[in-house]
Amino acid sequence: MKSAGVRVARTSTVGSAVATIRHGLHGARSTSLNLIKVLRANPLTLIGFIVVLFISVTALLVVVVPPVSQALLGRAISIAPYDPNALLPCPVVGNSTVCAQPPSAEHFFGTDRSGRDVFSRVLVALPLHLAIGFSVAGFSLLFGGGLGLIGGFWDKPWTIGGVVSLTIMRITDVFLAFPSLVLALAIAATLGRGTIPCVLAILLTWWPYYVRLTRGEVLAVKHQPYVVASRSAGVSEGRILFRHVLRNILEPLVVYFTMDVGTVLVVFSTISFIGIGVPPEVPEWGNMVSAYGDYLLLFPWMVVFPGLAIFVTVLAFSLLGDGLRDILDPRSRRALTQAAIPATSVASSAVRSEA
Amino acid sequence: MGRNPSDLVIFVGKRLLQLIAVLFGVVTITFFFTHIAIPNPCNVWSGPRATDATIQLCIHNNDLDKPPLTQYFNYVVKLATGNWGASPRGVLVLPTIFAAFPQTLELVLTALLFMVVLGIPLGVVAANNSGRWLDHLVRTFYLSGWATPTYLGGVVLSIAIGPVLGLPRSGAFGTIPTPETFPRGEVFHMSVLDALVNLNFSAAIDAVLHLILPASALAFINLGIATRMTRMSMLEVLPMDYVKTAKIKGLSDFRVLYKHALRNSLISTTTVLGITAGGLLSTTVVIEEIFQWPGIGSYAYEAITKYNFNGTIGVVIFFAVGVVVANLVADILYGILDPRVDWR
Amino acid sequence: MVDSVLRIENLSVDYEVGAGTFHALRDVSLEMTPGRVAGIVGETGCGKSTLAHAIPRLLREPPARVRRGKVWFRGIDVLALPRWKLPLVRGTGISMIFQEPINSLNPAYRIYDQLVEAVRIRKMRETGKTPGVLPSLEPHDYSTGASPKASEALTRPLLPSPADRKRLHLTRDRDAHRADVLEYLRLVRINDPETILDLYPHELSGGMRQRIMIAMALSEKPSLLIADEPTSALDVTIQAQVLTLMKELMEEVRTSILFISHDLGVIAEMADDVGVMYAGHLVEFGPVAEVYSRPRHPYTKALLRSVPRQYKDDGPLPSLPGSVPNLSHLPSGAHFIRVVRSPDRSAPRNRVPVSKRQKGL
Repeated sequence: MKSAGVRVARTSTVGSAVATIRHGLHGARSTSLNLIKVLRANPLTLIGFIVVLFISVTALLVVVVPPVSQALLGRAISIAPYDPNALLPCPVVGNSTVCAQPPSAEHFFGTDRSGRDVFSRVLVALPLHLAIGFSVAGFSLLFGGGLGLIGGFWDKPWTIGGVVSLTIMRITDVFLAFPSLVLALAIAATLGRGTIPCVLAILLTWWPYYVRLTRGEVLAVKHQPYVVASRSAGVSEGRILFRHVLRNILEPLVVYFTMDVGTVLVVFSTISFIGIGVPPEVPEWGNMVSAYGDYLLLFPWMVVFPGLAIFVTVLAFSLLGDGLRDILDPRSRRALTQAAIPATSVASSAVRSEA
Repeated sequence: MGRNPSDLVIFVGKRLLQLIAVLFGVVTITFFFTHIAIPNPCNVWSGPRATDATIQLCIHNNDLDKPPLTQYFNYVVKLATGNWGASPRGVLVLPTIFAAFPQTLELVLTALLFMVVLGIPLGVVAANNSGRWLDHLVRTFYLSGWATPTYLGGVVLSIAIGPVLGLPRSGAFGTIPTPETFPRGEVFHMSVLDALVNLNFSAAIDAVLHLILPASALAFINLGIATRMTRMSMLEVLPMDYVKTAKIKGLSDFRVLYKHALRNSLISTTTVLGITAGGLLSTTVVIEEIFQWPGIGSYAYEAITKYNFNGTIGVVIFFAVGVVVANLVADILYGILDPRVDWR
Repeated sequence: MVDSVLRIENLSVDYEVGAGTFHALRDVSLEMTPGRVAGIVGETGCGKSTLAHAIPRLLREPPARVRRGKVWFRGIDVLALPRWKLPLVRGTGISMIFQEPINSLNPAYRIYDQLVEAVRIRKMRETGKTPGVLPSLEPHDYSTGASPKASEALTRPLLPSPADRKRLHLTRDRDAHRADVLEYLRLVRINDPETILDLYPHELSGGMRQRIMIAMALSEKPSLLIADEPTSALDVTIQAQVLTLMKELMEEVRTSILFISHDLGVIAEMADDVGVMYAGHLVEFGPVAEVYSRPRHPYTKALLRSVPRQYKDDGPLPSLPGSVPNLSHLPSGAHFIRVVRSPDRSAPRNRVPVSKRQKGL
């Protein structure tokens, strides 16, 4: 038996197992090529991704084009075909003025009872919603996530960190008791109505979820063998925090954030629906459904299109987030492939510690 | 182990203490918003149409000229003794809330029932067919529910779908109960139960019909939570060895799924459902308004649109209490269902 | 000619994982003689667990795929059975015990509930009221024990007379069920079984749990018991106890057992025949004494050589160089190759064919 001048490595059976399974699971690692393949395998996620992209670009255009065109061309062009607040002249039919026109070539989504173009109103409401969704979710992620990180990482009882952590969690519990809608009611009654108080109410009730989520994830990671091993090997706390903990909790947080943008949207429009959010005449999807809900059977377009707008937007974000979870979460992904192969525990634990 | 009935008392007791602590926090926050955040509270409290005299009276009655800590103490005492104020017309807040609550409870419980009966099997089906078209279908279904705001679902159901199915759109009863039709009166303040107690079966059926649409609206939107949780925990449970053991014993697929696998995934699903129930309360504000359902949600809607300050704040506190209690129940359920939890 | 209890013909199983197909089993064929213990031995990842799970169709079908082959259990083509008939063959026909006792028992139910479930299935099938044991499948006759001291619990029929079978009422005979469960627990050498009936699995030790698993499997009197590394997760001393128990039971009742292990010593002790697996292939099969003393396949030889021997001191321990090749990209032809990875990863990996394909394998 000739070993043609090759160095012989002595590996144990565990090593061979790891090699086998690593080769077998080679496809499960996230390389960008693989991401595309996985996206194709998850058609729903792909749809969500495309729609989210489309919506974001549209929103961006609505906001950016007027000032840019003003600067470049001297006059502001807007993507919306009509001014969303303009009361357009209503056609006369017979001897009555019928303002609510069904969808047509000039008015894609028809007009409402005051003669305003529904399409323009729906379009203009888009950046408002996206901005609120992203900013509330983003702030909550940073603020709540930061607090959760502190609360989870430095939570040994009877230390300063422990006391701080406990306080954070108790305060979080109190804020968690208020549903967003309910606190919005309270703020509307005391501080007044409008977009800002509404956003404030949502913000105040949103960050606690991120504290809970982050803390849970941090605690789960903290007790993993590789973290304990790093600590006993003398790695500094800061390095552990950034290298191990942060990297591993990032993925569930991203998933949650993506879905959350949609959820914030729903809550915001619900508060506006009740009437204590955006002022009545400002174009906003919840407002529009509230104003014309009763006419669903008579003039469906006035309700259906704003409703569809919010439905599609939130669905897209949810599909993307839900699908991202299955793609990104290493635990569930690896657990799914691993569990399918009834390997011995020696091999499976060897793979798991590679996190 | 630490799971004797006497240990359960300790278990529940510890959590009750936590509940009281959180309740204090809740009251503190409402105090902050009602007393501190507003420069002249009485201006807001007395409503937009109040006169100077009313405002002066309000300041005097509510000790607003005293230091904040005294105010806080008095406030807490007032709440604890049941003095939650009155509407501008003088209708006491707390009794109104207590009268309206059971009706909402009926709605929420029915919605929960729908969520459990429909949502959980859907989650099981999705997990069992993970990755295949059935899974994608179920996921699209519950994500659609999640993406439909409460008001949209409610409006569509009540105006478009309800008439098609012949279901009544508003109210809890077709006609208001009178002493003739309801000799024993409204005992529970829950439409179906009251009708049954009064042995008025046609009214009971009528009440059930009225219940279907709003409960469905509530349930459809939140179905996703039950389905998603069940699917997720089933996906964790199904690869476990004890499921293999159950299969190899010769049990049918159905038994393996529902008796062995589901039992273990129900632990987390029930907890999540309990927490959701708390949130469901606040969703009733919208649903009850759309369906004219005479519960707390309607009361809250009216209070905010008619500038009933005490009513609004009363409802806010009540909802927060509801959430905390629901979380407590969920926590206790988890401790009971998971045999590994130590009660001590 | 009596139908062999298990006959596997050219079984090939693949896993579709991410980017590629992972050949877990390649053309595995073997035949078990009734009443003998067949051991399967091999390195981790060689496919023994896959083989064990493939027989009662416990593999999760989306990632796993049976490419071809047949599994005959007492004349029944298991792989061709419709899904609804599959539970009928399991339990009273083929049973299995797994490696991790903590995961094998349902944490939400007490020991008694889980054991009585198995007993009831057996009884229901013996009554003939449920389509339990397949019509063509006669219950395994546990009384053909080589030893005259056959284990009472296993040889005594649960429902001795047709009258008993007719009378079986699952809920009213609770005391009878309880007595049966206790008897099976005593069978696996658990003293004072009454004390553990109301406990949950997490309240017991690993050795106890594995005994309970054995009791549960045997209580349904299967014709074939598959043991997938039953002692690998136990401490050495407990391992010895459980193995002794299994050996004693096997001597008493002579059921057919397919015993999977990576431990050559355990196989030597427990098995009558042994099959050696490597990279999805069954490279050698024969009576254990013969395979161990006169191995024919180079892998078997290398494997036997790598077992540390207590009394020799010939220098460094022999081991197989490199590692098992990538099972997704096995080259055709050479079936026993080791992949040696040189420390410099940029250099192409060298394949070291240790031996070319043997004829007939």
